Amino acid sequence: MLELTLDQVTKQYGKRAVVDKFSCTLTHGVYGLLGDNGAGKTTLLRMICGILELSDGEILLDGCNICRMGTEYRRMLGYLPQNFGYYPEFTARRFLLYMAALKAIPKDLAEAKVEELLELVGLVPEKNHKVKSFSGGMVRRLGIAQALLNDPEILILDEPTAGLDPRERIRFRNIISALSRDRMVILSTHIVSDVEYIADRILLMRGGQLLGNNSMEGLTIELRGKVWECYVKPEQAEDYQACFSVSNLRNTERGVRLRIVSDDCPLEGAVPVDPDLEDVYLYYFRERNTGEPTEGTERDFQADPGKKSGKCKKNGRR
Amino acid sequence: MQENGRKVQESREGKTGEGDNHVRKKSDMERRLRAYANGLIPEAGRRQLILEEIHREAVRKKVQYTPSFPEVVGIQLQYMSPVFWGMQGAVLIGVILLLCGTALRQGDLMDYLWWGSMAAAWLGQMACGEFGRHLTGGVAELEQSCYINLSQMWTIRMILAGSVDILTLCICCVGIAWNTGSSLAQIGLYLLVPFVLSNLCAFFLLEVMRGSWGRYGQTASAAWVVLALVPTAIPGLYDIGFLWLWGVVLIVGTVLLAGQLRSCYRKLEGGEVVCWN
Repeated sequence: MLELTLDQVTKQYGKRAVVDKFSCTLTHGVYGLLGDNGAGKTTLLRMICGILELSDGEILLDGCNICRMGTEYRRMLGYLPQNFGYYPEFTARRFLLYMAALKAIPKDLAEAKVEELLELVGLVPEKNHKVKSFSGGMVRRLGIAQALLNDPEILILDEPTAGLDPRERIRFRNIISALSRDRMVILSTHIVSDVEYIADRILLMRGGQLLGNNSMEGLTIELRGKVWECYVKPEQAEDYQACFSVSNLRNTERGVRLRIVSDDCPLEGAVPVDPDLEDVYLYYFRERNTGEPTEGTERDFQADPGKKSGKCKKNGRR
Repeated sequence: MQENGRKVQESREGKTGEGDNHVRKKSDMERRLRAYANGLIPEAGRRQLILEEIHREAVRKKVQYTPSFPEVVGIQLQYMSPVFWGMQGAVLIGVILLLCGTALRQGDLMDYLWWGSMAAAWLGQMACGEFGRHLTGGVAELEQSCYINLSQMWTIRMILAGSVDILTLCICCVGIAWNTGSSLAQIGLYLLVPFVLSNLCAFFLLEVMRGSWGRYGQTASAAWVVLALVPTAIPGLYDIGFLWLWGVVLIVGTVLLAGQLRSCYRKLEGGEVVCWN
């Protein structure tokens, strides 16, 4: 079983560390990389691919530095960049054959593999069309196909579902789940549900640092008792949103149902509910963005909007 | 006698008894072996399942294939832009036609050098246009992660494009030297200077512009080709007395070009050129 070790991986541009002493060990399974824009996800993935030089630290595959492995490391790699580039004058089939050649796949095998992958991503009818005529979703599917060409042991996908419609996203998720049985898949995405469905472990990344590395269950257990649901009057909903981390807001006959992520009970009558990954995301990324202390912030809220004004004493938005 | 006869009889019977035992043991062994062997042969359904599993494993088995250098060159030749080869061919044919045309007009050295310098400068720019295609298309990042990565591709393409360039320049040099009676080295010097400086300029622009090469690189290329004509406006520069100056410019240009290529490769390996488009 492959083991990829990221040891104090750092990337600096000038004095600014985009990825800062990132350490973790990855084995088989799907790893979901979650983080805000500018968290350093793409930079980290580029370093794992060996495209971007590390400023400090090292990346080891089974104890061997990937820089020293060179072609042997690249041979077991499948990569879908965030900005997937292509030669517009190439047809889908020609592009895949070109990528197969670069991945050192023998020509006779490449032909069969290309057909198989075109079938898998649903591009068979368009295989002889020029890529420049493709929609964004089709280009993305082509990108996914090229990443799978060499049957990679390490599959790195940067925003793989961006631009895909829900049906394609489900299909893609199923492909990844099926593939992850005996390989390592690292995917970064903003679409929390993608990670929720297929990731075995979730890496939370903020400001270039690893914030958390846990399974979906582990992360939600950590958040148990910190997610609440309550009903408020429609005119007060905005105020509540300003004061709390509201992960969901829905108009119902009883009033506006709010789902609030908070360490303490946000207001009287709020009931704790089971957290999901969106709550986890909101908890980790909202809370620290303000840089404000977390303790006591919500306690200052006038809890019962029915009896009191429903305004924040302290506008402690998390 | 009788006793002897009984002994023989007993002995025969004994042997026969041993023989029977042996036959019994043998057939017993055979029966057991057959039963064991039957246990080894899977039933048809199970056999089919096992064969399917073997087939699946065979399909899944990774083929580790290492292409040879000629194969890698072949791949690059196959996927290099046809426009690039078309332009290279056009320059080569153009050079031959101009050589013939100028010879027919009985032109002097400056007539030859005017278009010769332009062709040399144009050759230098064209190769860079081909390299810039990777960055303009945004496919460089992907290619850099492949078994044959961008640095290797650039090296091979540089060798291929450079060979055609050198061939074109050689034809040009020999033709001009033959028709003007000048020395081959002198003409080579006059043509290599715009060629080397043009390459230097093109790689510098490629490193600076990266992904914007497609938009502005061609304009810059055209500007440089025109600049290559400037020395021809000062015919005195082509006197034998100034050959040392051409030599110095060529040496300095070559050193700078080597440095520029080194910088490009370093940035390519570091990811700077690839990721910052």
